[in-house]
Amino acid sequence: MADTLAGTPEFDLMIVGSGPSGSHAAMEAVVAGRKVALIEIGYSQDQQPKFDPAKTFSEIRRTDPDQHSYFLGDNPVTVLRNQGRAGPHLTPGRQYMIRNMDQLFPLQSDSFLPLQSSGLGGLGVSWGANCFALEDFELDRIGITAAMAEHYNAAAREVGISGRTDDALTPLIANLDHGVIQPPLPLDSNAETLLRRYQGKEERYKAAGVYLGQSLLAMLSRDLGERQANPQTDMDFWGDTGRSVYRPRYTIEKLESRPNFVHLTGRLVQRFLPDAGGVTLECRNLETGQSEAFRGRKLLLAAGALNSGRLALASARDYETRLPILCNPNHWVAAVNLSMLGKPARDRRHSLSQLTVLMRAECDGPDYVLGQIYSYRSLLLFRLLKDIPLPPKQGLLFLRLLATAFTCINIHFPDRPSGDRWIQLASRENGETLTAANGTAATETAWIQRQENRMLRFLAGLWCIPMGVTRPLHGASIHYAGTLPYSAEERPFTTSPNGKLHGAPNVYVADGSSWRFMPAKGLTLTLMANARRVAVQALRDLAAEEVASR
Amino acid sequence: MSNPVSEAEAAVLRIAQRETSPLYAGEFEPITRGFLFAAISLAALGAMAAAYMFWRAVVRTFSRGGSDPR
Repeated sequence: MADTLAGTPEFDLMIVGSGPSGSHAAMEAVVAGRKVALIEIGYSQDQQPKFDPAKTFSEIRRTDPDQHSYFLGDNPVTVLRNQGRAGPHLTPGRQYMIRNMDQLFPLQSDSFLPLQSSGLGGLGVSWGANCFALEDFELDRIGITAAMAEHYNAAAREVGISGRTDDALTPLIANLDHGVIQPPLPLDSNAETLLRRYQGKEERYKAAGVYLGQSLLAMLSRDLGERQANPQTDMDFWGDTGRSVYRPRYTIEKLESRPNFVHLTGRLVQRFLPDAGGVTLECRNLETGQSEAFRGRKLLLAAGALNSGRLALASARDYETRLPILCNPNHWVAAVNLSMLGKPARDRRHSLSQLTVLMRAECDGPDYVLGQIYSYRSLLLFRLLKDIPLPPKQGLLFLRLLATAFTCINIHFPDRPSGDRWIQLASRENGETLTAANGTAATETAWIQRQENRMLRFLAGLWCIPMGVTRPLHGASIHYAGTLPYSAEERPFTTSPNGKLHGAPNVYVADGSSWRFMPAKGLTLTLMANARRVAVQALRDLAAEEVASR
Repeated sequence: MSNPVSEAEAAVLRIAQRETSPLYAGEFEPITRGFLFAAISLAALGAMAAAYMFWRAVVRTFSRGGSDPR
């Protein structure tokens, strides 16, 4: 097939995947005037959840007779069972993100249960919107040695970020131009009391390496273009009211109006065939079932760590090599904030993370453990009932008594390569399948347990008493990286520091596949910024080749 | 084939249907009658939870004993 196409490339740049990395890489290249094709499956939402955007969660609960259609969806059993797999963000309106996942991206594993997105916007469809512009030592551990400020600022301008620029967290998470950060939205009543307690002993906590502040969120507090400020209706898990919370599809939609951008959806990319003149991409058209091929001068892999790794192995027809995989272990803590017990809470609020805790922790070098603090309300009480050791009626009473004081903390731990965590391609009768393992050494488990205990003690010190910890299966954090890690040496299935895939001319890695370390801090803003950096590098290389060929 | 819905899941789903109907909104509102009321009520429910767990353990033990071990 490649032979038939090995003529003039149709596109300057082909990008696989429309998630945080693909969308931002595409933006960079389209604005530069290059002819760009974004190729993906790109399922879109069947229908927008229909609720009144002006009403708060509590008003909707009291008045909307159709609320079950978007709170429970067509298959409430799935919602209930998926909790351990993907956390609360994958609500019925966002399920399209993983449509046909098991058929499109087969993966076999007893110990690793990741989500792989087939939706427009990739895993960004259910992004919790927490933003972190990493510190230099973290970028260095990841393997990104280039200056990132310009790319962070470009990503932040596109995304629209709000938050504080003057609290204990700022130096640790806002390593970008503060001029691009909108003012913070108000905290809810629960978070306010926790922050006040922390601030009472802030210097002591900081000396112990514990920092608490308002989360930096990809959520607008002021209108930005056609997107609106968050209405604080506490419906952010259920829909994207006013588009205040950023989703990568907004960027793709903007690009679709540009004549030099082609969006090819319904294509499952199966292999890339690089040569000196460009790259041929083999795809299956999911509508017709036919094979198709596209040709471009450069290819950017942005299909996510699992699928970019899968593509690299499939393209080399390599069924032997095990690629490393990184995934943040993450735990959920249910806690009661005694300061709020029995007290009413403000109705107006947003639903996403209110506060962020960072706890310094040595782990093969300096790092942090992260806690994202949420006030539980709009995710409904029924989800919690099965974990309460009481009959349903009494269990419900228990939850109503705790409702305004109930606090959820999502703890994320860093991850680094280990021989126990890998993916491998297997050739089966019915096609290729990824196999994966995610083992944790006893020393790692013990380290995680120690850090978890530290976090629980810190919370208890704020009068936020932990009641239980849920430890989901590996893969539930939806943070994956590291399959094609950065390396200065020219080894197969590694990426050069400037983003080129070793041994594959004209192929670049624009997503988290290239990371050789995964910090606990959320990766999404850095994925966007790094994808822009890699796209800029590919554009520079294109320009240099054009000059050389004249 | 998906797993059948268990009895416990069915009970939770019945509550989910009720929780997403405006007719029963009041049954799911937070109870905010002050710290003391909440603390006393939670203590009583905590004692009930202990008794309930003990009762379920007893039921489980006896139901296992009565079943065919094969």
